[in-house]
Amino acid sequence: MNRRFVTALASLLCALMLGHGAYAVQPDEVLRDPALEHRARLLSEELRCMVCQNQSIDESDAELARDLRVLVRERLVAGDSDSQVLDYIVSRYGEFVLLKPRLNLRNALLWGAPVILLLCGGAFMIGAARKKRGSEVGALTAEEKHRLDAILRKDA
Amino acid sequence: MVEIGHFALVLAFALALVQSIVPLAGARTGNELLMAVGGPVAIAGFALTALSFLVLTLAYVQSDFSVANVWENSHSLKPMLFKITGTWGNHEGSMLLWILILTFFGCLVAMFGGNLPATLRANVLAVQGWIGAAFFLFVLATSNPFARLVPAPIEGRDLNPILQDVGLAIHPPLLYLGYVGFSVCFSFAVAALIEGKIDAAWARWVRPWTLAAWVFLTGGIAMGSYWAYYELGWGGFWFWDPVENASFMPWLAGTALLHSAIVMEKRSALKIWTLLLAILTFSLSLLGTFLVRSGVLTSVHAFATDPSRGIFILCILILFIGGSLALFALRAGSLASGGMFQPISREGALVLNNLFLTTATATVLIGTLYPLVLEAISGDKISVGAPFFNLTFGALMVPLLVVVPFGPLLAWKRGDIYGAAQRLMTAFAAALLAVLVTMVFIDGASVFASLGIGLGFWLIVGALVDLALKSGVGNVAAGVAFRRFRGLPRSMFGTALAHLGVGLTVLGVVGVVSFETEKILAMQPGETVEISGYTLRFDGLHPFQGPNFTEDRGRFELLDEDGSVSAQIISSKRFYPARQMPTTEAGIKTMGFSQLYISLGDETPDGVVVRLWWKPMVTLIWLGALVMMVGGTVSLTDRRLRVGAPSRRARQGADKTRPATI
Amino acid sequence: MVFWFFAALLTLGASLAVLLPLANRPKSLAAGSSHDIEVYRDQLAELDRDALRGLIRPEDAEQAKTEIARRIIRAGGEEPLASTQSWALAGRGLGAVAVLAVPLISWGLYAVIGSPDLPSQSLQERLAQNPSDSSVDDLIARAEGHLAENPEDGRGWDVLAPIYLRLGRFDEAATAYRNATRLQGSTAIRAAGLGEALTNAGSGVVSADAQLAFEQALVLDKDQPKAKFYLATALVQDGKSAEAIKAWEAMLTDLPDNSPWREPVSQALAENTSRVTASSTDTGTPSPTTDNIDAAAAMAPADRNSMIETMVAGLDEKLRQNPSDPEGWMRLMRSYVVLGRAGEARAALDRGLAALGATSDDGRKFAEFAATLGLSATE
Repeated sequence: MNRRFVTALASLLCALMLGHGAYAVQPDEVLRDPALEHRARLLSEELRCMVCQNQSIDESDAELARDLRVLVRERLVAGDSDSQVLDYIVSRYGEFVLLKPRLNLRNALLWGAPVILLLCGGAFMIGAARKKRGSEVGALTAEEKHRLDAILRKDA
Repeated sequence: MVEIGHFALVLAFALALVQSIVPLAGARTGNELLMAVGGPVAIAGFALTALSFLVLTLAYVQSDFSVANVWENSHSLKPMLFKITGTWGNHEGSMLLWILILTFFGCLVAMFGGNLPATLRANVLAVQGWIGAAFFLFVLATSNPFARLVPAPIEGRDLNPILQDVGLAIHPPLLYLGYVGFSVCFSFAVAALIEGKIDAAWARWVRPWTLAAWVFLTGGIAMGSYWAYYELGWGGFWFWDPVENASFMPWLAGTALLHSAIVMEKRSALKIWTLLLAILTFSLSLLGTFLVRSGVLTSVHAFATDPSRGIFILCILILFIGGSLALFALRAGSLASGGMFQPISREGALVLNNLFLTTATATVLIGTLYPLVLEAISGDKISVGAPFFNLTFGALMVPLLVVVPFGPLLAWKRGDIYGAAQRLMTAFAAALLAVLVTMVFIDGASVFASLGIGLGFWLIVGALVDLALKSGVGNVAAGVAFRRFRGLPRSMFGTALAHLGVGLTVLGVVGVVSFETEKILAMQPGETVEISGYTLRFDGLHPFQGPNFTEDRGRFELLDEDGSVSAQIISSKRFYPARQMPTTEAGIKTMGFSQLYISLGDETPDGVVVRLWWKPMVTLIWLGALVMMVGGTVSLTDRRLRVGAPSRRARQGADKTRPATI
Repeated sequence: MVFWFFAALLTLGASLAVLLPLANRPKSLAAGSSHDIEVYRDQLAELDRDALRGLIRPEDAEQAKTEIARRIIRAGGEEPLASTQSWALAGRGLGAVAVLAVPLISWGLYAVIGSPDLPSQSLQERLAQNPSDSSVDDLIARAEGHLAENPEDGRGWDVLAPIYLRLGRFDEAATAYRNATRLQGSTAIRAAGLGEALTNAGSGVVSADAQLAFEQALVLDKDQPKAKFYLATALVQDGKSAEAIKAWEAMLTDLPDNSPWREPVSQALAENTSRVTASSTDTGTPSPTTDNIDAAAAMAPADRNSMIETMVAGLDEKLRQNPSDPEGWMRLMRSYVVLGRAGEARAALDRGLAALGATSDDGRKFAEFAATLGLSATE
C-alpha cells in the first residue's frame, strides 16, 4: 500500500464519518454555562481536526477532534482566557492545529499579501489617473473631419 | 463499439494537432486557405469527441465491464440515471467531459465566429487547438477512459451511495462549462497578443463568452454549495475547502474580467489589463483542474508518490500560463491605450471593482497555496482555513459591496459622486431602516450583523433605484417612465439583476451566519423541543426498507400553538449494505426563505442524538446566485454584443442611428 | 470488420474536414479595418443614446466622439490584408502535410494504444449468450441478475447457494441458503449448507448460529455427514477433543466407502488424535482447549485470568442462547467453582436444571455432577 492510497483512505474515512450520524459536538460535551459553551464553539471553529482534510474540530466527528473539543472545554472551565486556551493547544499540537495562522515572520507573506496588493494596486490606479488627467483631447481639425466623412461614407 | 469511441478520441487528437498549427501558419503568412482550415477542423473535432463521449456513456449504460473505467466506477444494479451520470463521476470520464466542452466551445467559435476578422478567428481556433491537443494527450497518455480489461469482470466495483445524487451529477458539467468557457477568452487574448493588435471589437466578442462562462460557473458553484449543505449533514454552505477555492478563484477573476471588458468595449480603455485578466482567469481554471486532479491538495507527499498525472497537468499549466504571460510581457507594450476618463466616473468605479476583486482572488490563491508551498520549502505545516478566509476575504468584500450601487449611477468619463449619492438616498434610507429594525426587533443582534443586513438591502434597493432612475420614475409621467423602462437596453437589466442577486446572497449569508440557532440534544420518542419559536415533537425512529438501503427514519412533527400537527419532517440515517456505507439524509423544512434543518446522530441511552438548526434566510444564498445567473443571461441577449461584423443589416441599422453631429 | 469500416469512414471524414477548405478558391477577405469601423460606428451611436439618457454629459460625449473619430481615421488608413505570394508554396506544402497527418497520426497512435479486436461486451448480451458458451462467472451473473429481479425464486437461491459456497463467497452463500430455506422450506442439506457457510464466514469457528443450523440438519436427517463433521469440530473448539474423536470414529464406521467425507474425517481425526496424545491432558477436562492452555501458560497471570474469564463468559452466553446442552452446563458450573465464584456456580446449576428439566435424565445427571463438586440446587 503506497502512501497516497493511505491518505486517500484516511480522507475517505473522514468523508464516511461525515456521512455518518454522529456529528461533531455531542450532547454530553456541551457545557452548562451557555456563555462558556459559546466561547468553546467559537474556539472550536478555529482549530483543525488533525486527521481530516480541512475540517474544524467543531465539524468533525473523529475521535481526536472530540478529545480536542473536550480539552478546550476543560481549559475554559478551568478559567483560561481564549488566547490561553489556543496557546495551550498549540503548545501540545503545534501550529498546524490553527486554522487561522498566527501573524509572524513565517506567515508574513500570507497576511501581508492582500494589504500590499491593495495598496500597490491603489497607488498604481491613482498614478495612472494623475498622468491622464492633463491630456484633454482637442477638437477635430477640418482635415480630419473630411477624412472621417470619406471613410464612413466609403464603408457604408 | 467501444473501440470506435477510442479511435474517435485518437482521431480528434490528430485533428487538434492540425488545428493548432495550420490556421496559425495561415494567419502568419496571410494564407486564407490555411486559415479556413480551422473552422471545419474544430467542428469535426467536436463531433468526434462527442462520439467518443457518447460511446463511453453507452458503455456505462450497458454495463460493459470490459472497459476498465466502467468496471471501476459502475455497477450493474445502479439506477439508470446514475449509470449515465457516473460517466463523468470519475477522473477519466470527467477529463473527457472537460475536453468535450472545450471542443464544444471551439466548435461554437467556428460556427458563430463568421463576423470575426479572418486572422483573429484563425488564431483563436489555433490557441483552442493547443489547449485541446495538450489535454487530449493528457487523457490518452495518463487517463485513458477506454482502457480495456481481458477477460471482462462480471460485476463492477462501485455503488458509492454518496455520489448517487442528482445535485452532484449536474454540478461538474456546469462547473466545467464555466471553467472551460473561459478558455475562449484566453484564446482571444493570446490571439490578440500573437497579432500584436487588439481590434476595436475584441471586447465585444470576448464579453459574451465571458458572460456565458460566468453564468455557468455561478450555477456550478451554487449547486455544489447547496449539495454540501443538504448532503453533508451539518448545514454548512461554504467551507473554504481548497477544492471549492479552486472553482471560486476563476469566478472572482471572471467577475473582474466581466467588468473590465465593459470599459474596454465602451471606451477602448484598460486593454492591456483586460487581456491580462482573460489570461489569468483561464489560468486559474487550469490551476483548479491541477489542484483537484493531481492529489496535491491531500499532501505534497501524496503528489510526489504517484506523480504521473500531476506532473503532466503541471507541465500543461506551466506551458500555458508561463507561455501566455511571457507573450504578454513581450507584446503588451505595443498595444495602444484607449480613451480618457476621470477617476470619479463609471470607468473609475469599474477599475475600483477590479482592484478589489483581483486582490480578493490573490488572497484566496495565496491562502490556498501558502501551506503547500511552505511545506514544500521548509517542511513546516500550517493550516489556512475558514477563519483566515472569512476575515481577509470579508474585509475586502465589504468596501467593494458598499460602492457597488454607485457604479451604475456614475456617468461615463466624468462622474458626479455627490449627485449619485443624492440619487441613492432612497437606498440608503432603506438600508438604515433595515439596520434599525434588525437592532431593535431581533434579540442579540450584534452591530455587525445589523450592518450586514443593511448592506444587503443597500445592494438590493440600490439596484432597483438604478433601474427606476434610468426610466425616469419621478421625473416623467408614469406612462412615459414605463415605456422608457421597457426600452432600456438588456444589459442595464442584466447589471441591475446581477447586483440585486449579490444583495440577496449577502442577506442570506449574513442571516444564517448571525442569526442561526442550534440545539444539540438527546431525544426520546414523544419529547418536544423548541427552537426559535417552533415546537417540534420527536415521534421516534421508524425502520424503513429502501430499494438498495435500509433506513432509520426519525419523524418530527411541527406543532402549532394549539398543539396540533402542522407539518412533518423526516430526517434519516441510511445504510447501504452493498458498500457497508452509512449516509444521512437531513430533514429540511423550508418556511419562507428560512429553513429548519434536522440531522440525526447516534442512539445513546438518553435517546437519539438530534441536532436542530434554525437557518434564517438561508435559501437567499442560492436564490441570489440564481438571480445573478438570470442577470448574466439577460445581459447576454443585449444587441450590442452582436455588433461588430461588417454585414449589410448591421450597417443599415447603424446608419439609422448614425450621429449627424460629427 | 465493422470496426475497421467505421474507423476508415471516420478517418475519411476527418481528412475531408482538413482537405475541403484547402481545395476552395481563395476568397477576397474584407479589409482588416472594416470590422473595427463597424464597431466604432456603433460606439458613436451608443454615445448619443447614452447622452440622451444622461449617462454621460454632453461635453464628455463630444470628447469621446472625438476620440473615436481619431481611431476611425487611423483604422481607415490601414491597408487591406494581402496574401504574401512568397509563402504560397510553403502553405500548400503545409496543407498537404496536414491532410496526411490526420490518418497517419490517428492510425499510428491507435495501433499502439488501441485494442481493435476486442468487441464490446454489454452485460445484457453476455447474459443472453448460450449458457454452454458462458464461463462460470457469466452464469453466476446471470443468476444474480435473475434473482435481483425475482427475489422470491427459491429454486434460484437453492442452485446459487452451493456455488457461492464453493467460490468462497460465504456471506452470500449464507444469505442464499437462508432465502432458499425461507422460500422452499428447511431440508437437512440446506441447513447443513447454511451451517457450513456461517462457519467459513467466521473463518472456521462454529458459531452458535452455525451449531444451531447443524443440529437442525441432524433433526431432519440424523445421518447428514456435513452436520456431523462440523458438530464434531465444534466439540474440539469446546475443548472436548475426546468426544470429537469418538464422533469422527463413529462417522468413519458409518460412512459408505465412496463417501467424499471419509477423507476430511480421517484427516481431522489424525490431527486431533496426535494433539490429544501429545498434550496428554485429561480429555475429560473442560475448556479451555489444549491450545488455549498452552497460550495461557505463557501469559502473565493477570492476562491469563482475563483470558479465562472471557472464555467462561463466552460459554455462559452460548448456554443462554442454546440451553439444551448438559455438557455445557457442567463445564460452566465447574469453571465457576474453579474460579472460586460459588454464587455464580450455584446460579449456573439452577439455570441448567431449569433448562434441562430437573426430572429428566440429563437433569438428574447434572444434579449428581453438581453434588460431586459440593453443590446442591437451591430448591
